[in-house]
Formats: sequence, C-alpha cells, structure tokens
Amino acid sequence: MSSMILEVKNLWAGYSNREVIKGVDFSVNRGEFIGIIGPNGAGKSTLIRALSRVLEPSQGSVSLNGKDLHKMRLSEAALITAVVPQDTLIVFEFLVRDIVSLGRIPHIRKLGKETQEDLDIVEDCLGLTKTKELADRFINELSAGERQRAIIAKALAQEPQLLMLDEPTSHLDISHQTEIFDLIKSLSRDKGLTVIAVLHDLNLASEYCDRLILMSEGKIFRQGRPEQVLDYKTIEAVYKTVVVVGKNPVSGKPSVFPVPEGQRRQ
Amino acid sequence: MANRKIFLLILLLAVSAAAALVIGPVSLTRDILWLRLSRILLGIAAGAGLASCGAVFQALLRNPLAEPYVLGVSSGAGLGAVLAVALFGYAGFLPLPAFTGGLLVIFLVYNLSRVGQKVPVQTLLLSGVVINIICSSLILFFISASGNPVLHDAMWWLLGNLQVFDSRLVLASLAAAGLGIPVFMLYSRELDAISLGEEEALHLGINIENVKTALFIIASIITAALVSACGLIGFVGLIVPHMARAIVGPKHKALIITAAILGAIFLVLSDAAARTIMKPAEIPIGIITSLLGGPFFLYLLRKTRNIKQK
Repeated sequence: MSSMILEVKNLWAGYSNREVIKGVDFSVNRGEFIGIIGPNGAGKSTLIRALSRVLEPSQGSVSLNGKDLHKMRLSEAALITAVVPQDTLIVFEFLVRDIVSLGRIPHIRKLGKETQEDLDIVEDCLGLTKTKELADRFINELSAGERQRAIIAKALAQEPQLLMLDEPTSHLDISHQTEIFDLIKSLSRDKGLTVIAVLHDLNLASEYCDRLILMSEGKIFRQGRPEQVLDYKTIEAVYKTVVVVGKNPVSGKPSVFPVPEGQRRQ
Repeated sequence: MANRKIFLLILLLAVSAAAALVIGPVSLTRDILWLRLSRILLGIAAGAGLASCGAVFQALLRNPLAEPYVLGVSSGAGLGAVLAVALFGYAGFLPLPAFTGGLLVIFLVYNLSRVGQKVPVQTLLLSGVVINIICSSLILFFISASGNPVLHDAMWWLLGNLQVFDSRLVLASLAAAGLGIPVFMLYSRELDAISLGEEEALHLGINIENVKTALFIIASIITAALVSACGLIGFVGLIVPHMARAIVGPKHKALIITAAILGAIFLVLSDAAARTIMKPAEIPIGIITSLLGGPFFLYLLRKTRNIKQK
C-alpha cells in the first residue's frame, strides 16, 4: 500500500450557490496527525464535511487509498474513515455500549448478526477510551467529556484507518481536552491511525499535530510543521489580530499569546 | 431478556383478545362472535401498524413527539373522503378516496420539503404541520357548508372506530401492517444509526436519503391504509413507542416488534371499553385512546423530567 492515504486535488465545495472551499490541494500520509486551523468561516468544517461525503464537491477530486472517494460506496468509505463531530445530541436513552456497537455497522453484512469478534472489538474500544465503567449508563446522562469519549469509542469500533474530528473538544475544559488529545495521539502513535482534526485552539494544535494546515477564506494559506505555520506574521495576517508567539518551555512547541488592545503600542 | 419480554407480551395479547371476544353488551351468538373477531383483528392490525409506524417516525424525525399522523396522512385521508362526498356526490366505498387523499398529501408534503436530492426532516415536519392545519380547515369547511347526510357518517368515521362494515378492510389492514412491520425490522440497524443524527448515520456508511425515503413511503402507506379503514385513532402511535422503549430500550430490533404487540393490546382493550362503557351506545375508540393516552403521556413526561433532574 502506498504511504499516501488521502489526496485532495483542486477541491471546491459549498452550499447551494455559495462555494466555501475554493480550490484546496493537500495530501496526507499514513499515520500522520494533521491539524486544520483557521479563523471562523475559513471553511475548516466544510472541508471535513466534503471529505466525509456529507457534501458532494462541485469540482476537484479526493482519493482515499488511491480510489475516488466520491465514486466509492458509502459503506466502503465507512470501512476506512470514521468521523467524530463537535457534539452528538442523542434524544433516546441508548446505553453507551449500544452506541459504541453502532460503530460495527459498516462491518456487519445487511441482515447479518453481530459476531463474537464484533463484541470483542466493542469491549476493546470501551477499554481504550476508558468508557468501560460508563458502558451500562445512558448516553444522554453523561457529561460532555464522557459523551465525547463514548463517541470516539464508537468511531474506533469502525476500525478506521483515518479518523477525522471536527473540533472534538470545543465544549470541554482543559483537562478533558488534553485527555481526549492524549488518547488520540497514542492511537496515532501506537496503531498507526491517521488523524485529521479541525482545531480552534492554536496551542492544542501546536502541541499535538505533526503538520498544520492553516486555512483562510476557503483556501490553504500555509501548511507545514507547527513552527513553520505558527509565526506571528502569518497568524496576524490570517486572523487579523495582534499576537505574540513564544515557546512552550516543556515541549519546545510554539505557543500563541493574544495581545489585548490596550497593550499593543508597547 | 428482550425475547422473554416479547414472549410475555404475546401471551398478554392473546389473553386480551380472548377477553375482548367475550366482553360485550349482548350474549354470544355465532354472528356476534364473528363480528367481534373481525373487530379484534382490525384492532390488532391498527394498533400494531400505528405503534410501529410511530416508532419509525420518531427515529427518522429524531423527535419523541412525532407520530404517524404528523406529516398529514390522516387529515389528507379525511379531506379525500369529504371532498369525494361533497364535490362529486360520491356514495360508494369511502376508504378508497381516503387512501388516495392520504397518499396525495404525503406526496405533496415530501415534495414541498425537498431541497435538491435531500429532504431535511425539520422542513418535512413543518410542512406536515401546515398541511395538516389546511386540510383540517377544509374538512370543517366542507362539512359545515354542505348539507349532505353522508358527511355526518364521514365525521363519525373521522373520530375513529373499529366497526367493520366491510371485511375486505380487515384483510387490507392486516396485510399493510403484516408486510410493513417486518420491513421496519430489517432496517433496525439503520434506524438506530439515524437516531443519532443523519450525518452520523452517513459516517457509518448508510445511504440516509434512500433509507429515509423508503421508510417514509412504507410508513405512510400503512398509516393511510389504517386511517382509511378505521379513521383517526390518536395517541397510539405517539405513546406506545415510548412505553415500548421503557420496556426493551431504544434499539429498534426489539423496539419495533414490542411497540407493535403493545399497540395491538392497547387497541383491542380500548375497543372492548368503547363497546361496553356506555352500552348499548358505542363511544368512538379515538376518544378512549386519547383519554387513556393523554394522562399517561403527561405521566411519562413528568417521570422523564425527574430522571433528568437527578
């Protein structure tokens, strides 16, 4: 298998008559941890929606494992990619275990039954995400952080090669944020899982991602290692605000500090 | 575990049906027995069909308040029957224009809501509500503007009852429910996934627009057939799915069949009550189901609210 899992060429996508993604090119290697950053409205979530078949592109192509994604059957794509949305609101009282086992749907033939292997994989994913003790609770009674761990467990139960996350921790506090990202990072390192995550928090992106894709107005403004993308000139140009970029004293990764208006003259 | 509960419910249905067979204002003769048996069969078909359709509508619309009539099938059927009588002087088999009206309204609602290839459920719900109101107003208009006595019968029929005036209706209802419910069960995994959200289901490889269209069409045909046969029987399709969830949980593999059996029990018993409470007069069963169902629903609402607050 080639080292490239995803290749996006001149992708255009959007809603009815408004293009949001305007000609995006990039490729992702197996096992990479990619962060997609950029200001509100830059097209980050729309990009994820186009890469996960929620939106059909108006132009360009996406190839997944060398095959045209948008000509693939949905069930075939679901064997390769899994998606974790920002938040999942569930109306009915499903048990956490029921939700996680939904991740096996792409692997079970129509009319087929869950096998022992399916059940084992569900248990493994509950273990990996530390949701085993939540397994027999109702999903709609969990806290936002617990619920997100259960949704990640469901995505892992799909046994994806590529995991896409759309601001998975924007509703969570800093300890739950690092907990979720530590988990995803370890999966990427230990299991070779490829990760594409849309992130609001530039520092989180800097700490966890191998490569960042900075989007602005539907196009890629710059991409590269965090230290290549997160310099103050680039950020100020794209986000239209004043920042200072320093270094995390422990990891050595770039850290972005906002500068309040009153202190900008200094 | 779920299998045992379902087995017990089937027993309960058998007992209810037997009880309904012997309860009544007059003593049992061969004709009465036959009449009651056909009513019980119609009750089973209507209860099972409406309750399972309710479960499907609630999952597809991700709305616990959805029920089989929410998209306008019932008022479409009513309007179909009333128009046939008032405008064309139709005096034949009323279920026929009713069934046609119900399907036409669903077709209209579905197409009003379509945006390109997709049918967003929020738009679908809103169009359903609006079309329901328009059809109901038209029904009242034609009934009050026309002096046709047939319309009085139509009114009575709209209130819902299981009186069997044509045994073909029993067969048609049993066929609609009997063919539709197994299809719903085949889609139980898709329904589970769609309960989480349409994009979530799509990420699991489910072609949601196809599944939605197929299930909406099947559920609407069943509902239109049942409304044509026994009028508007409220609350069964709304409450019974919630009762079934309380018994076997929200996974559709067990939920659909449990709702169907519970719905059948509920209507068979409600019909027995409708026949006997004010004997020899008969109360429309729709009134009984609403009177039993309404308070029960309020109770459910309070109970779930208390759970949420814990």
